[in-house]
Amino acid sequence: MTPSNSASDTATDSAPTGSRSALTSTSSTGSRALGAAALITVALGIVYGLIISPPDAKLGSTVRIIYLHVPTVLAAYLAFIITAVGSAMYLFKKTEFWDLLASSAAEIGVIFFAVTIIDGALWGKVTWGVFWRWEPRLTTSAVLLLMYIGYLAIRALPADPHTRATRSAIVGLVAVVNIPIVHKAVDWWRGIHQGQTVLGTVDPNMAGNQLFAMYMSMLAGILVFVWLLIHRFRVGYLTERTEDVALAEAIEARRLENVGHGG
Amino acid sequence: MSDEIRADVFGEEESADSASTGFDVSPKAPREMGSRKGNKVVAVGALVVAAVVLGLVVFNGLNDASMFYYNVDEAVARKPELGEKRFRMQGNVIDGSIKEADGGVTFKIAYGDQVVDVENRGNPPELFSSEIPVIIEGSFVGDEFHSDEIIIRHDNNYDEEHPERIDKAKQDATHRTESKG
Amino acid sequence: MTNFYIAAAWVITLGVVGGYALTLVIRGRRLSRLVPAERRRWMADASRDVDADTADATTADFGSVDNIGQSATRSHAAHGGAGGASHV
Repeated sequence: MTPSNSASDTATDSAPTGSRSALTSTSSTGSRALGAAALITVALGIVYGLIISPPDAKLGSTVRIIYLHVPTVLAAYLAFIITAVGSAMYLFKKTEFWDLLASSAAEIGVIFFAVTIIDGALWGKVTWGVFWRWEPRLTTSAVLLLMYIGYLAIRALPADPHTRATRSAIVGLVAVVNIPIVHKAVDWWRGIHQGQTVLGTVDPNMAGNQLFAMYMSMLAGILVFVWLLIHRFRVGYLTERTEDVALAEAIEARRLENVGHGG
Repeated sequence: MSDEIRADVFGEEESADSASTGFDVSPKAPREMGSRKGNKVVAVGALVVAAVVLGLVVFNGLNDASMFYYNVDEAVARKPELGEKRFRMQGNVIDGSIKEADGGVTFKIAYGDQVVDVENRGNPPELFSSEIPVIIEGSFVGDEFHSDEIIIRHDNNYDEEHPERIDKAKQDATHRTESKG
Repeated sequence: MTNFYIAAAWVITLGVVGGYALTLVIRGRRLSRLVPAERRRWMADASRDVDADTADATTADFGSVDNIGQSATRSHAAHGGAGGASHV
């Protein structure tokens, strides 16, 4: 069927390669254009966030961590919402597309959210004086991260694709409940963390280049996220295809064996 | 996650998938995984472990966090029951009360109609001033509060560093400390 | 010290996200060599000799939705889980 070897040991193999290198990657014209746009906004975010925007009146340069903390958490929320939508759609449609979309988004969301927490801890050390306290926003954030790590762990368990997809879809739907809890934690319980930034007002007094740096980095975060999502989806799709190939070969081998032994 | 182990444990069971492929693939090939039943045990086990860990984290966290701090007036009212217990107290540092002391700093903290003298061991964080509310960690010793950690309560106000804005920031800070509970 | 924490935040953020992007590109290239081009539908726009009807931009970007849907039924039913081994 294909000249490829089994999936588990082809990592270093050079199977027949297209002469045009563009044919052997997960990029397309659209994703390359998106990637270029993402790089430009990231560059602008760096220039504005680190150089052009002025230090904060009270926080000094520490405010520059906000230009990372808010965009990454925004991208993570977006990712987890996509995971929930993909999970719900999978349970309806049972197609690989929705399973791959949900799982791709979840993995990227975990990465962004972990970075958000690290940035937040560094921010906390400088601003509050401590890296971490088990206060409401931070506690619920830790729970959220753990749940999505659990989602990825469930996907790593050996199972046939349908079982794996169904299990993780249920977790993907349950875990998204964390987002409003994390978001409202600053209102519901006493803690250290300041009020909502994402989906709330970015401080209405924030202005000028601070505000521009904030919006630019938020845009950069979203573009980078979408680029990552497309590529992660394609990697997941290709992984499934290599497994198809491996399975077909295994079946073929068994069939030949059966024939050989006279059934 | 070795294939051999999995095959030993689950390999003898009938493959649920064999019908769809037309012949039985699972028992002899080590690469094929085993039954769904075996996988389910693993999955449920992992889920239970995850749920217990999560439950503990949540309990430990929110138990602590739902009453993350007392305001100064609440702490004073609860002083008999608090005794020498360690807790967190929130309030505003009174302007002009901050004094360097041996191995730390002393100041007065106020909230509502109560004022408490604080002796803090160790240096306060950089942003420590009478403009931003603080949470201190420690316990009452007599009428004094002995703390060893000062946490600055920063809010979500950002202002560019311009002279005219600094005045405004100061006004904001005093406003907010009055309104926030 | 403050500047150290700020620098750390930027380095970690850009490093982790950038590093992840890099691993995706590398994995994508490696896997692409193993899968025949006709099954990588997003390549439609990059190859010259392509059928007009595969150039549906929206579906081609994510791989063809219809195709995935059809193959998913089959692969979910028939796939005892050879996946698990190479997936973990």
